[in-house]
Formats: sequence, C-alpha cells, structure tokens
Amino acid sequence: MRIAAAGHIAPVLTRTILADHQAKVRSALRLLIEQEQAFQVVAEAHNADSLLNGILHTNPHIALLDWDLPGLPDMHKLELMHRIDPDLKVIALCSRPEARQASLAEGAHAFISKAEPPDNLLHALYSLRTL
Amino acid sequence: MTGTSSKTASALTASQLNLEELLNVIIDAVIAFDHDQRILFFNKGAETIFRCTAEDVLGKRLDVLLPGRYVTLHRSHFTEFADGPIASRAMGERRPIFARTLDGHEFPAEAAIAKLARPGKRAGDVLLVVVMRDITERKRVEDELREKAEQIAVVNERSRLARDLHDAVTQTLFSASIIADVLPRLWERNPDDGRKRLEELRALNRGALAEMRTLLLELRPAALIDADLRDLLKQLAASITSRSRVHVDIEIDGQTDLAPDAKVSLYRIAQEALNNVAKHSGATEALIALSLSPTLVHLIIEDNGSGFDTAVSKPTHLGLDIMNERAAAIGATLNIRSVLGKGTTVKVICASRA
Repeated sequence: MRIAAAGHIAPVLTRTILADHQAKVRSALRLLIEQEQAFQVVAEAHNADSLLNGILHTNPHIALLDWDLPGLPDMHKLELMHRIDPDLKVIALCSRPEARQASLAEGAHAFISKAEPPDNLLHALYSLRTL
Repeated sequence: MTGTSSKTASALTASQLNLEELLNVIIDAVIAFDHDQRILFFNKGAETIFRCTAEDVLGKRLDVLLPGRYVTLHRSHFTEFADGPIASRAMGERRPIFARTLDGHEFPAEAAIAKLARPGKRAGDVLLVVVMRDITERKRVEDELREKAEQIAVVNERSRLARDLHDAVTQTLFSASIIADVLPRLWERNPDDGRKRLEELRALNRGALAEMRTLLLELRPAALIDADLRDLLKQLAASITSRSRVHVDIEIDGQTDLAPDAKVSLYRIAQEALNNVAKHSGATEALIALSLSPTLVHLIIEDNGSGFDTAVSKPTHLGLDIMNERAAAIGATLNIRSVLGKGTTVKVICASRA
C-alpha cells in the first residue's frame, strides 16, 4: 500500500479470525488472505471455545466460520459470538452446500460452500469490508 | 352345580353354555380330532380360514389341511405329543408353521394344541384340539416393517459416508484448491515459499486420494478381501494423516499370505484404533507396525497421545468391544496398554494361517 509505505497514515487492515477444526484448512485460508494487503489474520480457532476466546481478545472485524465447527450449538450458532461483538461480520463456510439456507437464516453475512472457487471467498471478504 | 347353590347373576355354569355355539363365535379355527388324526369337530372359524365346510373334512385325516411336504414331519411331531406327558403347547416354536386350504392355498399360521382324555373310551385314547389362526396379514406387516428398517439403515449408512466424504475429501480438496489458486502469484514473489506450498499441495492431493479410497472400501467392503493388507494399512495411514492432526507412520516387515477373514479383522482393528487416536488421543504421532512371518502376524498401533485408564473404560467406549470381537473371531490375542499422559499401544497377534 502506497500510503502505508510513505508512512503517513497507518493502513486500516481488516482483521479476520479463521475457525475450522482442520489445521490444513486454516493454513490454506491464511495463505489466501495473507496475499491480500487489505486483510490481516489475527487469530485461528479449531473449536467454539477458541473462537469465542479469539473474538474476545483479538477484536476481529470478520470471522471465517466453518459451519460445522466442533462445539457450536446446533441452532443459534452465532448468538454467543454476537453477544461478545454485535458488529462482527460472519462468513459461513461449509463442506455441505445445503448449509447455505440455515447459515443465512441465522444471520451469517455470506455463505461460501467449500466446493466453490476461492475467488468467491475473496469477493465475499471485500464486499463485507466496505460495509 | 346343584339346585341348592345360590345363583348369582354373573355366574354361568358349563351346562348353561352351549359349547358348540361358543366355539362357533370364536374367530380362530378350532379343530378337534382323535388319535388317528380323524377330524371330529370343525368350527365356523375353521370353515372361514380353510375355505370349506365342516362336512368337507369331518372324518378325514388332518393331513388334508397340511402342505404335502409337512405331512411326514407333522405326523412324527403329532405322535410324540399325543403319546407324551405334556397336555398342551404352542406349535411352531422352532420354525413357522404352514397350513393349506382344501383348494391348495398355503398360508402361515400360528397354533396351539391340547389333549383331553376321552371319557368312556379305552385308556390312552385322547381327544386333541388345535386352535389356529391365519397370520398372513401379520407376516406381511412384519415383513414390511423389516424392509423399512433395512431401508432406514441403508439411508443412515449413506448419510454417514456423505458426512465422512465432506469431512475428509472436501476439506482436503478445498485446501488444495486455495493453494493452487495462490501459487502462481506466490511463486513470483517468493520461489522458496512457492516450492514449499507446492509440496504441501502434492501431499494434500495424495491425502485426498487415500481418503477417497478408504471411504470407497466402506461402500464396497468386499474389496477388502482381494486387497493386500500392507497396501490397505498404508492407505489407512495416509488417510488418517490427511484428515486429522496426527501424523501416522507405517513400518512393514516380512511377507506372507493371510486368510481373508484375518486380513479383514486386522484392518478393522487398525482402523478402530486409529480412529480413536485421531478423535480422542490428542496425539501428534502414531505408528502402525506390521510384522508378517509364515507362522505369526504382529500388528501394533501406538500413539503419543493422552492415553486412557483401561480399568475404568467401558467396553463399548472407544470401540474396544469391536476390537475384541474382531480379534476373537480370528483367534487372535488383543492387548491394549494405555498410560495416562504417555499414549496407547494396541497389539494384536494371530496365526498367519488359521
């Protein structure tokens, strides 16, 4: 970023937290996001506890949430997260495309199936960043 | 009852009952016959069930109401009962029984038989009574329910496989597809990092293949019989490494042909043990060691996880009962040693040829 390089104004990086029970998925997501200069990964979580802790301590703007993350309740999955931070934007990710409706109905801002190309995830990230 | 007894409104004496009328309102077939199996009584229920009138069968032998193939067997059972000490029993306790109408229609039936001494006749002459019902409809409903239960089991099994496919193959290919997407840009900026990620991509692809092939075996378990145990275990190690945070190494030593059931059981034990390692142990490393000799097979699965207390663990917990059953089925000895904080070792020894 030119402005940051000039050292005048600190860039406003969008802080993201990654929540998926598999390390390889988190590692790949981190790689994808770290290529984008507007985004920063502030924490990773492998279950619901570490996700809530991460939200509490690292103050992310966006959570990339695996909808099947272990430890999340079957319904109202976003309630505890939004109790900690009502402004948190959530992108629901899932291996099961059929989770789309449930996740959007429960208040996720976007849904990306893990069968979709990674570009769709980047589009969702950028569109939430400008909200 | 004598005339001096007081009559209450609710009590009926046997003589006041018209026995034939009573037997004719019963929906079940009631058939009485003598020691020679000659039919002496045939109620209305029997007429309906056997599609004939009493006149058609009275005086005839009971054989006319049986499918031909049961006649001999039935006679021997009948003689045994008629001459034996037991006064009444349910029929068909060992296998379902079948009856036949006069016009040749066969149906499944449920029946009980009883015998009475016949007053005025010579000793040993008895009256036999069979009470029988047609259970065609009940069997049909039972068969339908069984079929439904089987269908539900199939659907559940498919759902489980779909879940496993999503949790394994989809996750792995999703990760691989992200890395492949980023790789060209990454390589331009930092070739070393690019090479590292390319290696990761290759490992992910190999992992996805192993996961898929492991799950295909669940769809077609018969394939286990034709496969080589060494290949199966290598594939299992690669699959668990890919889908969990545990790195599974494998050491194989020796070569011998195994009986199919030994091969399948050893594979299932390894699978159960490694599922435990992946799900519960918190281990980072596990090892499968297989040693094959012409006489003995040793299979060891060990991990560096948290271990469990073997004394308090229930047999159904951690699939221990499944492993024990599998081992017992092939006459193998199974030994599970676990130390809290130090990990678990599962050891199976069996003969190479049963």
